Formats: sequence, structure tokens, C-alpha cells
Amino acid sequence: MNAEPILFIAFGALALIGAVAVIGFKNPVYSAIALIVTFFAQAGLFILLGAHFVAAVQVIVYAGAIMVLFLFVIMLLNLGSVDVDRPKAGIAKGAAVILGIVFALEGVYIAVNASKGTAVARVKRESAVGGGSISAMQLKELNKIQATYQLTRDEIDTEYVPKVAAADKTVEDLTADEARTLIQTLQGEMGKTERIGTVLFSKFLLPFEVTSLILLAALIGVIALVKREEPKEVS
Amino acid sequence: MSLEWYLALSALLFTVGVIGVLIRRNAIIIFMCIELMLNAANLAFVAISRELGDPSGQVFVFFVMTVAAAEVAIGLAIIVSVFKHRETVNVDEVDSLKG
Repeated sequence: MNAEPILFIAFGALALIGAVAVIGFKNPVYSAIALIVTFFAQAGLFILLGAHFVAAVQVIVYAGAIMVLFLFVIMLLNLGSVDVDRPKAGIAKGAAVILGIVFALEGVYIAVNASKGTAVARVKRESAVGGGSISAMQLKELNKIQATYQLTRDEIDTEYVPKVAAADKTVEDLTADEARTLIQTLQGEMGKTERIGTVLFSKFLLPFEVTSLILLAALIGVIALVKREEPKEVS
Repeated sequence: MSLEWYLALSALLFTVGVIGVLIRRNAIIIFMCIELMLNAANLAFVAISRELGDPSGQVFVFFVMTVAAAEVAIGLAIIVSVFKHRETVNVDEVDSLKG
């Protein structure tokens, strides 16, 4: 039995409940705890999607580092006890909720129709073509995967082909069905740290280096913002 | 589960974040709601990445997380320095720039 729908509903419900709790609680500490629940549920969803590396980073960076920062500031400012959130005027709150519902309906409508007539649907249709030996399109797809993950044809032949067909076969001898399974296996592994690392340090090397500038800017900015003003020397 | 379900969940999470920003006045909770929205976007990225068999989406999530971490650090520093001067984190009371 396929457990994905059950897990999706469980994690999805947990994420939504946590999200609503974040905006529902008066006490910011409780909101922060609810946010951690949401982050963990989302990490579960990432694992369901096969994105293991992203799930791990989600727990370490979001549920770990960022939430510690939040709780630290809440405690530093001693906001746990004071209620700074006076209730908003009814009309503003009502308008916000109505706008939110409209926004949600819009979002869900777009989401449900997202795969109709778009690039996503096209890929699905093309990969459904089968029968006979490996097609030129599948070979092209394999070449693309090979280039993206910087694999050699030998590696695919020795490591992945035996998983889907007889061990002595090479990519060119596969049938279309076997080739499809092979492509799916390779694509299913894209969440692995090794694959993400290869892509991150080849195709996205420059953006990766630029993120270090963002972090440096944030670091300097934070120090400049919260620096204690030094007492002026009296001369 | 198909892509639509993940995108719908992502849209709902994003909406909860938007509502939070609209109805709460505590600057820290507004920040948490921004995190919620970023996370909803991440979920959409990963779901579409799986659908297309393209790892770029997951790499983008990595970048979004970096930006989120930088944003939280700066944002919380601003909140701390506002609190130092005004003894409040209520965004309605921080209105020096209001015309």
C-alpha cells in the first residue's frame, strides 16, 4: 500500500495547524513553538518529495538556527509576558480575513490548474511515450541527466543499468520501458546530497558564491545595528 | 500525491502567512509569518522540482534559506534596536516615518 497520501495529509494538516497557531497565539513564545511544528512538518513533506538534503537543511537551519534566534530575541526583549497585541479594530480584522480567503481560493485555483497546458504537463506526456527500444528522446534525457550530475556513461552502465535490466546491458540496449525506469531512478535520486552538491558547485557556482556576500552583508549589518554606542570621551 | 496537492497546500500556507502579517501587530510575529510565506514558496519549489525531474528547484530552496537567514538576522536586529529606543515592538506605534 502506498503510504504517501496518508503521510501527506498528516504532515500537511500538521503544517497548517501549526501555521494557524502561529497567528492565533497571543504569546510570541507559543507562536515560535508552533512555527517549529510547522517547520518539522514541512521537513516531513520534503522527505515525501524525495528531497532529503533539503529536509535536513530545513531542520538544521530553520527549526534550529532561525528559531533559536527568534526565541533569543523574544526572551531578550522579555516579550513572553507582555501582551503588545491589542486586538485590532473588527473591520480591519474582518477585511484581512476576507482578503485572505479570496487569496487562498486564488492560490488553490492556480495550483490545481498549474499542470494543465504548462511545461510540467508537457514533460509528463513525453515521458509516457513507450514501446520498442530506447528512444532518441530518452537518450537525450539521459544525456541531460548525465551532464547535470556530471556522471559518466560508464557509471550509469555499471551502477544504474543493473538495477533496471540485465547486468551486462548498456544504456543503448535498454528497452523503452527499462529506459523510463532508469530515468525515473536517476531523477528520484536528485534529492541526495551528492546530486545537490554536484549541481550546486557546477551550474550554480556563481550564485552560491554570491550568497556568501549576502551573509557577509547581513553579518556586518547586524553588528552595525546593535553595536553599543561607545561613551564619548571627554577631552 | 500529485503536484496539485502540494501546490494547494503551499498556497494555503502562504495565505496563512499573509493573514498573519495583516492581522497581527507584534513585529516578531509578523516576521514569523514572513518565514511561513518563504517556507510555502520552498514547498512549491521542491514539489515542482520533483515533477520536472530538475534539481534546480531544490538548489533554489537552498538560496531561499540563505536569504531567509540573512533577513531574520537583520530584521531581528532592527526590532531589537527599535525596542531599545521605544520600548515597544508594536508596529502601529512605530510610525516615525508616517506623513
